[in-house]
Amino acid sequence: MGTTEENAAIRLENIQKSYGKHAVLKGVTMQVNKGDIYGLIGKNGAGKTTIFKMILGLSEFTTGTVSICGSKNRKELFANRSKIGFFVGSNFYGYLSGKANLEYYAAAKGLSGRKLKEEVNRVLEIVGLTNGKEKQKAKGYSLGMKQRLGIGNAILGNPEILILDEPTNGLDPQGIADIRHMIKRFRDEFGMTVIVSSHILGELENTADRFGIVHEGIIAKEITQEELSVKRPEVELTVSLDDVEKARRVLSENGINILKESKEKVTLEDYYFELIGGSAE
Amino acid sequence: MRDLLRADIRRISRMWLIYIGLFIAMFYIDFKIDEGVINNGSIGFISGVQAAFDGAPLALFVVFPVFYAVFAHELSSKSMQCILGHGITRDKLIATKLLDAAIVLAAIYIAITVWILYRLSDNTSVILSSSQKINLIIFICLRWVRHLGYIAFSAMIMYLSNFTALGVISCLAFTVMFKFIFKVIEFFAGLSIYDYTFDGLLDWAYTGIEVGGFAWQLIPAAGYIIAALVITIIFFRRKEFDF
Repeated sequence: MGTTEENAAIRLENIQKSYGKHAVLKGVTMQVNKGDIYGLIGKNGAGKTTIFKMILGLSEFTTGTVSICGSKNRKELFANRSKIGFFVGSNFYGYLSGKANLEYYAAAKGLSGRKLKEEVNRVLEIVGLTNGKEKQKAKGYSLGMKQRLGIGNAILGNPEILILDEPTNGLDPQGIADIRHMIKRFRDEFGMTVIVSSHILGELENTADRFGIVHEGIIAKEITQEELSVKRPEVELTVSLDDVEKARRVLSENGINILKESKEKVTLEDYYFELIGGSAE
Repeated sequence: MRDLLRADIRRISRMWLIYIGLFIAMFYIDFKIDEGVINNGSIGFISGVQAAFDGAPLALFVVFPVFYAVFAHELSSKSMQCILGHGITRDKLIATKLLDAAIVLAAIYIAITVWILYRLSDNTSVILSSSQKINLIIFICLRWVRHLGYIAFSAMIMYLSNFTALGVISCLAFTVMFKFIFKVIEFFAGLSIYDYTFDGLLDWAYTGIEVGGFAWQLIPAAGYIIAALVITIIFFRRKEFDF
């Protein structure tokens, strides 16, 4: 699918945001297409969360325009925000159970009666908060359970667009893998457009279709998974030896063929640091 | 807005603090009624109810739990971000929260009023005329307005300061200290400004109703609540929310 206004789930044009003299966003222009998993990447403080705040109306931008599902004016923008589900960390009432929290947000979204109960149970099943976990008070949840509850809140009512701000923050590898799996499921099974941010580049590399690289308040580059894979077609030969040539010669002289070589394509992390400078170290 | 209101009321109804507060409030009113009836019979019943509502303890048992249930978790839970992100306007959000407080407070007041009327019908030695009964109910309604005002002022302070504890402290201060502070000012500085305060206006409004006059003081008193709401909304429109 091409990048046209018609298939834009979210479109930001020249969004600028300043706090006093400090410019946080210096003209962000980006488009998230319907059905995409869009990875918003950048180091801490690059402006990822601020972009989300602009989309969600939690912070007013200085200049620019935000369009959600083709909204043309402020009224439509407000109305279309109801099509967004979002996870921005732990946003729940600690004294309520996980289930009661979801019931609260489901009711606030206009669900009631049997529909509400069914939707909450469906969501609890998807995020894996079942077998009594849903009845525990939310303040007693582990970090992983809190993340799941937050994501559950985000997908209540099956929104068209899902925004996930650093959903894997602080999770163990299993938790990260589970969230990755969920993100793909939300798009593939439920047809959601997903925007997910992370400062850990490897996390998104195999999850997102397109990446927006946020650097110093702008989208420095947008790149697709395909573009990334052909960016550097050359491969690197990696052997677990300290002297490769000598190893080859010795192997060849002795009539031993090299049966396996590891070839690594350029990673998202490589590309990111090539673009903005610096290194993972 | 209606959906949020419904969800909020359901959430707030799970707070045990409200029921505990209501139970203690009823017990306290009971005590004051008995004290009044023993000393002054039927008139003592009215003065007992009034004494119960006048004192800080009842405000503490009723206002503080309501404020806590409606507002105390708003900032820490970040639920406002969630609600706003789904498209409700900021003005409506603030209005809904105040409506939450008004409804919950009204529910508590209805329970208390029913309890007082039950005590009245239960006590054969107390006989009140219909006008006395009406005045008693008007008195209770005006207390509801007063306590709603305290909640609106405290909520304004909480939202402006972005600090829940300050809202809670303000709520306690309004319920316990408001009248006392102005009386102290009047005593030491000779400034009679209490009559122009929210509390003072409501006191005069009741006196006006009691003597069969028009309680015009209710208009500026309502103005205090509306002003608090408007200030909160104006501030809230510009508020930057963090995740």
